[in-house]
Amino acid sequence: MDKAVMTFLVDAEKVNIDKKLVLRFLKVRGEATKEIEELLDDCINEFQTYVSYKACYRMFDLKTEEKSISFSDDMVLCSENLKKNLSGCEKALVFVATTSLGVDRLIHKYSSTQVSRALVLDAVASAAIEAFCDTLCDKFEADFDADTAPRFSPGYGDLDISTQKQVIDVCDATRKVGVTLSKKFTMIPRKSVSAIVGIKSSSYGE
Amino acid sequence: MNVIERINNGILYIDGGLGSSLIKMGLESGMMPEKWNITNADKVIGLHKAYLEAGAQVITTNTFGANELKIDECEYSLEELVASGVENAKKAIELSGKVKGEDAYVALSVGPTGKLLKPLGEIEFEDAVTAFAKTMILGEKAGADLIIIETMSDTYEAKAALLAAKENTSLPVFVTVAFDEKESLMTGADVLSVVAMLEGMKADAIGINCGLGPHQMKKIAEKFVKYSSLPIVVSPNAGMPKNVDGKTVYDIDENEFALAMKEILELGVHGLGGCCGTTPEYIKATVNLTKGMAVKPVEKKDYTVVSSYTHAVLFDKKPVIVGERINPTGKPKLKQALRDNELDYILSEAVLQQQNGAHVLDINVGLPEIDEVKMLKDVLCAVQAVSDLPIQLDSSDASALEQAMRVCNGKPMINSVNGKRSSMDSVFPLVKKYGGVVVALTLDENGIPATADERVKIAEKIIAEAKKYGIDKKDIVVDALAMSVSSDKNSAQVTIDSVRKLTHDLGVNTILGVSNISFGLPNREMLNSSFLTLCFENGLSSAIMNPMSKMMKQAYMSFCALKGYDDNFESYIAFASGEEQSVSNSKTDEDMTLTFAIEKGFTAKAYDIAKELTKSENPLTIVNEMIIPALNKVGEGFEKNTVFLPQLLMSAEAAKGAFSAVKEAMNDEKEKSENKIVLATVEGDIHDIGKNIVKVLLENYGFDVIDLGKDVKPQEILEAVSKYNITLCGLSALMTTTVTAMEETIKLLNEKAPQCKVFVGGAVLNKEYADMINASHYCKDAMEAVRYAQEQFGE
Repeated sequence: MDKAVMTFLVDAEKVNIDKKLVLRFLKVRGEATKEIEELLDDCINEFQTYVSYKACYRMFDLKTEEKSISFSDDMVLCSENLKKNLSGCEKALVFVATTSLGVDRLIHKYSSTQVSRALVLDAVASAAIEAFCDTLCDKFEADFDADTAPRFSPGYGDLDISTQKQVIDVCDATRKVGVTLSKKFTMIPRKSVSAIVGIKSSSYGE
Repeated sequence: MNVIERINNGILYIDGGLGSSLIKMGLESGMMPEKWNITNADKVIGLHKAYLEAGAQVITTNTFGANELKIDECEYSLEELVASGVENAKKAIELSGKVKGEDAYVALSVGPTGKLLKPLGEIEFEDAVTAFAKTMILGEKAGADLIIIETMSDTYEAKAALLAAKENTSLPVFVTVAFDEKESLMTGADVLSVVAMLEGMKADAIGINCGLGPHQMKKIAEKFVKYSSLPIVVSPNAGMPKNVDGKTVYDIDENEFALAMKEILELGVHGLGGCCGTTPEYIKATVNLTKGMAVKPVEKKDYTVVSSYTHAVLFDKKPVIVGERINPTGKPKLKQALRDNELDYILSEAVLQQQNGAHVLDINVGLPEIDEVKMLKDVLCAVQAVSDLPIQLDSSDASALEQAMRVCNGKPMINSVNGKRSSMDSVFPLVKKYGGVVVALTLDENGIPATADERVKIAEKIIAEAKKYGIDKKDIVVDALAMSVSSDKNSAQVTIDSVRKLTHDLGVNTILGVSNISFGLPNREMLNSSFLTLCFENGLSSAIMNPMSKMMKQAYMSFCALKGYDDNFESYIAFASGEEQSVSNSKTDEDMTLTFAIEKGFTAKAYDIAKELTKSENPLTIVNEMIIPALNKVGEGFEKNTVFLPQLLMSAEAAKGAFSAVKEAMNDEKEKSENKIVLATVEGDIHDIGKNIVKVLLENYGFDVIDLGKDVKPQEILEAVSKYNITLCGLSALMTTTVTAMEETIKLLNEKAPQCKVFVGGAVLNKEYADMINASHYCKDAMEAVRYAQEQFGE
């Protein structure tokens, strides 16, 4: 078969957007005013009709070399921080998750017509993709009956942001979930996350 | 028999999965499959041959990713990859004893670039066209019999590829796209919008591949057959992927695949193939099961459809509203916005019309002093970035129409052609090439006829002429022309009669700019709305009108409700109860002050109150004693951390609303502020909310902001600074990777425009970093940018 990539789609209402987190992203301290609360609720409602949560992921066998880690020989990454993050793991999942292009369009629309809304929607989308990643990792723990290491993404620590390209490629993410890369390695749709999640060997079910 | 004849008259068998089969044959994951055309030609030929032996008639070349935007590090040239790809397919045909071009065909496979086009991505539409063209020219030269543009997940990219094929080769073109389980493309397009656009652009066959298995594709294939007049191609995966023992496998075998393909054939599909996971066995089973079966003929369909990049609008019983607000005629504010190249005002008109129920947006930017060719294209692209409604391009300049039709994402309406020879000669070739539904005005060299019968005659003439170009009646919507009833008491009746005859005798869709009818009379909306109802009742399919006009909207909603076009009165009830609410709101808010409305960020109310105040107060008093103090209070609160950014922005927007009410009352086209500031997000950076926040606040404080947008090259920023003799420029960067572009820009400005100070901001910056890259000033937030600007301009 082709690359052993699985996809995972979730309905909008299954992902719980944490309003407190959104307010934190917006740097609102203390109680939000009634007007901000109303704007936030309104933005969340609108966001829900545009979001389409999609993820693709693939399981790899890890092989630690002196300076690098090999992912089933398909991808080799050089990073001490990642090595540390994956210590005690023989397998790792690599995933790419996105809220999809409709969200980019929505934010773009308000960015030039009502920037207060663009700002709030951007924060809502950031909280949403975080929540979706949590949902995905919970699913991984359940599916593989194992504990997972914290998510580790290209750009963290000494893992260069340019490794984004390899991650997108090994997950076939452009075809599977529509995530593309800009010249400077920004993912488009913008509210997307790519990450490596180690599966703790000690807890590995089978 | 050539491939077009074959697919139009019977079943055409296409091969199955290529990349997935090559991986099985030992292609390393992560390696470009196209390299095998050269390094492992025997294996590629072997696979092609196996497909031919299985019964496939079309061999798709191993060139899916051979695109200059996709291949960056490769030891082989694009020409080597493409030529060897075509050569391998030819060789396989020769080895299997078939005759190329007769019973076996080489299809140049063209896949997506893997990049997203503007406005949300980075690639220019024309750059995508050029890149596709290079591959296609090479493919034709090497001997391909047709082009298959496949696995497209973005209508815009599919359009670029199809345009490249049509402009640069003489080969037949099949286009297949990848839908997901929700029946939409990655970029959100639904089935009908895809069909409308690709058919309008004269693809030779269209269809679906990849993404889904044959069971999931059945429903989508059914829709293709229902709406399209072209032969349909279906190439599914070997089912849906599932995880078995840690490995991904597709869930159906060749026999189940063949059975499902038989059902797909019976729907009226002509081209049968396979995609990921399918092998020669899958194709063989399909051929064995279906060979010799009768297939439903390809039939012409009569649907009038326009589309955007997400959805289509079908001309049916319920009339279509075309929003007329983006048109400078009689709108001084819009004229000014066009002259100043201020697109924000135009964009808010687009968004408002959509919110108020427009189905299609008319765009007219015709003003004598502006470059219409450039402006129509620019406004179209900007509007398509904020609204997903289909567009009506409205211009009498054929080259402006052509440039806009080229880059329009979807199948547009074209306004207009008329019965004059010169008009038909210039507009129809464009509709033939780019696709579209064209508005036909019933006038010709002799002017506008006085009777309905004569107007119908002109419509007939236009329809007959269109046919010569292969443009069907379904793609013509006739405008019977509404003329002022005050100068001719019969004019309304003639228009109504024309609409009825066009609808019932000629069977063509109609459109009207209804408001002309009341020209020269008072209370125009009263006449317009009644006239609208009369025309609808006589068959009018669409109206070019102001969706924000209450009376017009009432007439439309009532008509749809009374005629049974509004299921459960949903639209009517939502509209009517919304109206009641706005009436009760305006009563309770009588005591609200302007200052309060701005502080709270009630934009609509701030505008209304300011408007009311202008009747009794001096405009300067309103600005200096109400708006500015309110803004200052919120601004100071923000600086003291008692007011937060969302609130600050809501207040800024409310203040903007109040300012515009005051400006309208002053009724002057006052010179812009002398204090000009250039803003841009630097090259490589595509984040622009931060920059837009700074812009809104600076404008609030009276600065004239020249917004260059995002991903702006240093040279472009320098040009703007020099052109407007700018002394203050703000740059934003959100990523560490783009701060270098900021540094370059500052260096260039310091060298070539030393009079210009540069303030910077963005998530990754701080004061030290800003000093290091020689910025004049670091602003931690938008208010600080305002304060810095005030300081610089000595306010």
